[in-house]
Amino acid sequence: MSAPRRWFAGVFGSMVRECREWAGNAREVIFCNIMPLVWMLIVWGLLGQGIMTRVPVALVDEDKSSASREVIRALDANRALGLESYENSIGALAAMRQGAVYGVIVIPAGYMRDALTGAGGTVVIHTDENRYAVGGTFAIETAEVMDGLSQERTAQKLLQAGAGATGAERILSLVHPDFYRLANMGSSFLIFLSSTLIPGLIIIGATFAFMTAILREIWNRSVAAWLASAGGSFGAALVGKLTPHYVYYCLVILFYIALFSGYGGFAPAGSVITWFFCGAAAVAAIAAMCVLITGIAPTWRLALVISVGYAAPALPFSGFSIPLDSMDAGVRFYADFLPLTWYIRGQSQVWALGAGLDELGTTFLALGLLFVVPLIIGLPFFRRKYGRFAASEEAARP
Amino acid sequence: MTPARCFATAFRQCCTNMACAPLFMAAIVLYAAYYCWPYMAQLPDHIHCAIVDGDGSPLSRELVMEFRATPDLNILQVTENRQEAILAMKRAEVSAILEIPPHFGRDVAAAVPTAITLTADGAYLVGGRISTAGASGPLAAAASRAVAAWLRAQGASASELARMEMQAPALVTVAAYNTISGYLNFAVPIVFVIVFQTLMCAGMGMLFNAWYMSAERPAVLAAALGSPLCLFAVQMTVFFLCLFWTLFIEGPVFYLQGINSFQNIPATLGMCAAFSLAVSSLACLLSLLLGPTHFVMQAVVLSALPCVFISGNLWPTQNIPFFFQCLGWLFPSTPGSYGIIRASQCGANVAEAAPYMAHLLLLAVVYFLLACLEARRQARRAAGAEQGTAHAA
Repeated sequence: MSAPRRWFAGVFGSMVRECREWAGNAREVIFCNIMPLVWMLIVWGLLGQGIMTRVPVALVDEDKSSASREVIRALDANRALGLESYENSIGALAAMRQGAVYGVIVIPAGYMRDALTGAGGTVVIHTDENRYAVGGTFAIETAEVMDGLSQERTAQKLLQAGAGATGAERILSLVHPDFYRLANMGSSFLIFLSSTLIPGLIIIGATFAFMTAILREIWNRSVAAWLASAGGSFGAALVGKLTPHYVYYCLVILFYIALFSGYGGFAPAGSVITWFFCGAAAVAAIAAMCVLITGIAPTWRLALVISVGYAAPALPFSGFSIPLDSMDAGVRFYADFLPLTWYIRGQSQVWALGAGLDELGTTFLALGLLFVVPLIIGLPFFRRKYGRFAASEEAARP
Repeated sequence: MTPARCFATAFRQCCTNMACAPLFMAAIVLYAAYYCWPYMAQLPDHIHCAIVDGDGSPLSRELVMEFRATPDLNILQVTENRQEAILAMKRAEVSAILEIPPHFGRDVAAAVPTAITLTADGAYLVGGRISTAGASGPLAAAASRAVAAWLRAQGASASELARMEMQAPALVTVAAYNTISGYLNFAVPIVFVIVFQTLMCAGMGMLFNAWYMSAERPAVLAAALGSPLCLFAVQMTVFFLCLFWTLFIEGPVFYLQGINSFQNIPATLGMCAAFSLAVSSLACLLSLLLGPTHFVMQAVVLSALPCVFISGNLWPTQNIPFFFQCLGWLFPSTPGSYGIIRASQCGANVAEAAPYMAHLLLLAVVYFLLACLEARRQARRAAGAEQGTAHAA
């Protein structure tokens, strides 16, 4: 048999053995393969429609005038705000402190008088900035309502100045904003969070699947048997071991794309195939990193801890919450070493911006380097370490 | 083995056994620096932006200058070529494009409605929102100037315009508890509670795994399985470690990071203690269930990400489907993050934090009782196996 054929036969032998071992271990299937899917569906389900509706907000009307009632009517018509009346600011602020409401709107006494006399009527809102995402939405929605009221007042003035209805509308839209958020026009949190959290979960799940598959041979003291199944070739044994898990997580990526863009209806502007390749490249990079970590970690438990430390906190470095543009150069440099950062960037390029393969060159190059470099560094360590394990197993055999 | 001896042995193991010591002793310190790192900028601003100035008039150039002066935006490119900007955005070099249409200056002067277009990447919602906010300021100012110019042309006096400006309902926003609206101040206190839960459960699970896997079953494990008091003593080691690290993060770490904490000292201490007790009970139960396997880490870590969102701090609880709300109540991190933030960052007093404490204590009791049942089951099974071996001998 020629050397390449022998190598592929080794890969096949290792793969068959891996599939048998994998399928025979129900706990591994549950924790490394089924649970990531369950958590994915939980994340998908818990965000509901992804639009904040009737978020409890305390309202204190200290003025009780027709002008304050006009403001309250406008606020109440907004779907994001669920107004709850409070007698005074002290009670409302206590409710916010306790967490019962996400913000407080105070219409102060004398509001109407100040507005009419030209002194300036001011509505005060207190936002719970420890729940910034919800508090921020509350502040944006309130500001939009107040802007609408302000426009109404200006329109009244323009009518008084003799502009006429059409003229007033024309003057008000003289310089108007025309804002687009590609792929997420309605600012849906379902689109925003599920497109980042679910890939984050897939990456962590894939990390565990690869680590468990590699470490299983140490737990079972079967490194020698594993290498024997691949005809003694380390490379073939490793490829055969990781391929079934790689294929499984590529299928999970496909499932996520189908769930998100098919069932969810958030269709991509670019090619689904390019999007999938981006995910497959990120999973391959994680597999290479697992080989490196297993090779250099002194014990299997430490290897598991390091892999978790690498994969689990990667999400904030991807720029999904605080944008990468706002982070300092050091953080951005470090983020470039995380496959999740590049996957989310590539996904955004394909799905939101409709980029083609030629525009994704940097993204794929980075993911390629994250696959190749850890393998080049990690394989010699891995080979030496597992070679020692195999030798000690052979020595212990009677 | 006495409960006191169990406690001493387990505590020593937590600090020295390499199976769990990295999680109990080093992970929190590393995390305190590592997790805060991306949020050190505090404010999401300086969004990379390209401007397509299709007009090139003095008015459009003035607007470009105003966009450049906005801290929310970082204008990397000003071009007349729209395709150039689109290519930069597709290559992820810029996150947003602002377009000033041709004849913008002429249209404004002739009172013909015109629009400035902002195209942002909706996949990064925060960046999109910030670029919108950044563009809105100069645009609103330009719109006001245009309306004022028209009114002046119609004969309105300057004082009349000023009065009109004042009559519009003004809005003052007071950022409570996190006065700079900082991302670090907002995200880190929430996530740390989930980090504690994950690390403590994983650490105790790894310790139990090392005990279960050792050739000879350690006396401390046999005692913990045989007596609820000894099991409680082992659990107390994790309780004290969790309490120590919670106070360490809420105290010196948050002080150094500039995050306000301990706004109400008794309530914060009470919440930290109740949370540590509930977490140690959950850790004890999971360790008994998963300790004999190698899957503690795999089971615990995956739950961390959803726990952040199920807690109701990032996404309103009222908008979470009821089934998932119920699921969230089973994790100590849900009442823990809510209550600790209320007490430590917002200054809620003991009475205001009491519902969260009661929830945590209930979880602690239920999880400990379940752990006792599981320990008894394992002790009986071990005794049965020993009897079987003796009969066979």
